Amino acid sequence: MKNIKQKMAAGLMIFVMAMMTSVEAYAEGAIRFSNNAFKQVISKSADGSTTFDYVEPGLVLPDDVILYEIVFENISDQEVSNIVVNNPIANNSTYRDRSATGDSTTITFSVDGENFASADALTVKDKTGKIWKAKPEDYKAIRWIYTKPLKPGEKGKVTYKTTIK
Amino acid sequence: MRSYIRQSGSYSWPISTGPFVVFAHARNVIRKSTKTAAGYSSAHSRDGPLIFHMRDGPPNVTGPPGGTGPPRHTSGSGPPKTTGPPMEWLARKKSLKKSSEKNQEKNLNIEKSHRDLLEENIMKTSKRNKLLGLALTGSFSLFGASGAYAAAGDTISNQATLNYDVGGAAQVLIESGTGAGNSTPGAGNGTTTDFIEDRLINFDIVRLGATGDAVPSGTLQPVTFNLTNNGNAAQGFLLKGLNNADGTADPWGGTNDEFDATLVQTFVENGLQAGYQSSGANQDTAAHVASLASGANVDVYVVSTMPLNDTGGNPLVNGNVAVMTLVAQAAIDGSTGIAADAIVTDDNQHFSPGGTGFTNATADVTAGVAGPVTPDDPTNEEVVFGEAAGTQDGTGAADIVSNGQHSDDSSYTIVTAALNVTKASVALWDPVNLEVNPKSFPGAYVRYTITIENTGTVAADLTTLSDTLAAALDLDADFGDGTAANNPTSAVGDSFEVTHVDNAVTNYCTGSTVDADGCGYVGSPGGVITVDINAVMGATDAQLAAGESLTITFNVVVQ
Repeated sequence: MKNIKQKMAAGLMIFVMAMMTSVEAYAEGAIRFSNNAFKQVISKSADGSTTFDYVEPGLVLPDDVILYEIVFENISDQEVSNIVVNNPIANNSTYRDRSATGDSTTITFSVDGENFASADALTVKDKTGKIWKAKPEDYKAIRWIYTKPLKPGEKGKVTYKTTIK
Repeated sequence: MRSYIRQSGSYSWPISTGPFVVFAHARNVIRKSTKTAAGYSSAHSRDGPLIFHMRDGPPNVTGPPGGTGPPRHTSGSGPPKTTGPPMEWLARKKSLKKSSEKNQEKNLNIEKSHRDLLEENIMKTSKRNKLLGLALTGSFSLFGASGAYAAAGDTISNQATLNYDVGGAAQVLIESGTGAGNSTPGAGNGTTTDFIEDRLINFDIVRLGATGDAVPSGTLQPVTFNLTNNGNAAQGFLLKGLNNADGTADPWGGTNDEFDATLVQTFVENGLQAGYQSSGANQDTAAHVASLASGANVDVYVVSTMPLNDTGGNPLVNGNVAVMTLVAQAAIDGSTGIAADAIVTDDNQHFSPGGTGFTNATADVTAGVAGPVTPDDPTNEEVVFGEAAGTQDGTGAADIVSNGQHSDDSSYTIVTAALNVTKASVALWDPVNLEVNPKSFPGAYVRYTITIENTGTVAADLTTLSDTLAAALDLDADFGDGTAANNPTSAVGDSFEVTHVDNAVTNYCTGSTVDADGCGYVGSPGGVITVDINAVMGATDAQLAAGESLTITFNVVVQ
């Protein structure tokens, strides 16, 4: 892990280059859709500044933070609309509060994998039937609704983080 | 006028009759731990069963293989994977799905053969085998209801789906892929984003309750600890109890260590009856922890025999302390307590110091060596020691962090009866003066009264008193030989009067020979008298509670 640490930005560059060089030949649909996991490594330098590195999830132990980076790109020559990305929270993982991001997206969550609502509107029922506001650890799935059309060649990205149980 | 009555206070010995010895057993009063729950308590720290599929469809029907169980990439026997270019692991992911499917098919066979191995109890040849065992044992748990907490080795699997329209018309959904991604629409064409949760070995020994009250020479004296598995998988543990050097501070604030316990053993609470049970149906017999689930804890007892004397040779007295350490060594889940079960090396170049005498002196654990520096692999379940530093390690050295061992100190404190014995004499009668101011010359009778008082804090069961008479003295075999005025009220022929002062019980016994009445006199004059207090008085009246006293009276004839 130590010798292949890299900044997420660097990873993205390689990622983009890989896409450009290898994918065109057998593209079958209008969208290229990827999902990659990175482990968050926080290091503090001597001057007190904090650096967040995102590395291959090689050594993953409880309480580690995982970043999921989901990228969609329009590889067709037509405009694509009404893009909706669904992603369940992985097993052994808890969603980290307010970690879901995505430009030009409306983000909703679900505690049952079917019904989605904003974080503020999401509720759970306890055993006695009492209704509570859902906590991040209750979330079972995340949904991003991309609010813009995606023109040919454009791409969008959404991310979120989990904590390993 | 000089008094001819000789009366002594404590520890004065007129007309010396030589040394005498009192044997007593202090009652074994053990302070029970205040912990009420029986040993095992599983901490249900997780919310519920793990969900391996969160896809839209029904689980395990159309979903990717990654979610139903960990692919056994851990069991490869080849060299560690070399470091590739930074993103090489993403490319490797592409093959994960297919290999997972194959591996799933293999799993059944592997599990079957693993069970065979377990039955034959031969999975102890190497670390790699141990790790294989760990992974496979974990896989059993994954399929069982109780395995929801066995997170280590789980493949953490994730896949996003995307719906979209083209020209206003809904298109076939597309699944995400790892690396560069997937561009083939339709269910089943993506790949899951997977990595394996590694094994954190983290556990904690803490002393419980209070110092263990113990009596000198007491056997099977327990002191209680608690072992908690803070890792993310079930583990076994080897155990070892240790003495500490004289002068070690008592963690409970008593005096410093002054003596060493012997026959130091460890026993694990079996959950049937809280507190150490040394016998009976609920006896705690396990000397090691075979399996402790993640988040669970169990009481462990260090059980020892107390000496009679401290390390300086002085008799143990109230308040003497022996500081004891319990060391736990991480072992494979399902351990049988053998040394080969110990996990002595992790994948972070940390290793265990080992130590002799685990599992009640049957398992000598060889120290580990630092493993090679290998890149962390998302497809491998790596093992990491993460426990804090304890007090001593298995070799008696100071414990350090992340060495697969943890320990804590507790102590024994001696709580015993303290007997104060006094001996007094008075001249009873002489042939000249009779009972008026009698003197102690040949032919005279002198009465001895030995008083035994319990000045300690716990009851003492008195057993035998013996006393060697001086050469000039012979036992008066019959109290009736004294004058009538000074005779105890006894039948003729009795030699000893024994009185439990506080119970107001008096019994007599003969001194002719050591016989069934428990008293005797061997050799004369200057012989040895023996009084079996327990036989004469019975168990109840041979017992001195704190503050109580008992007297033994007999007459001697001056030669």
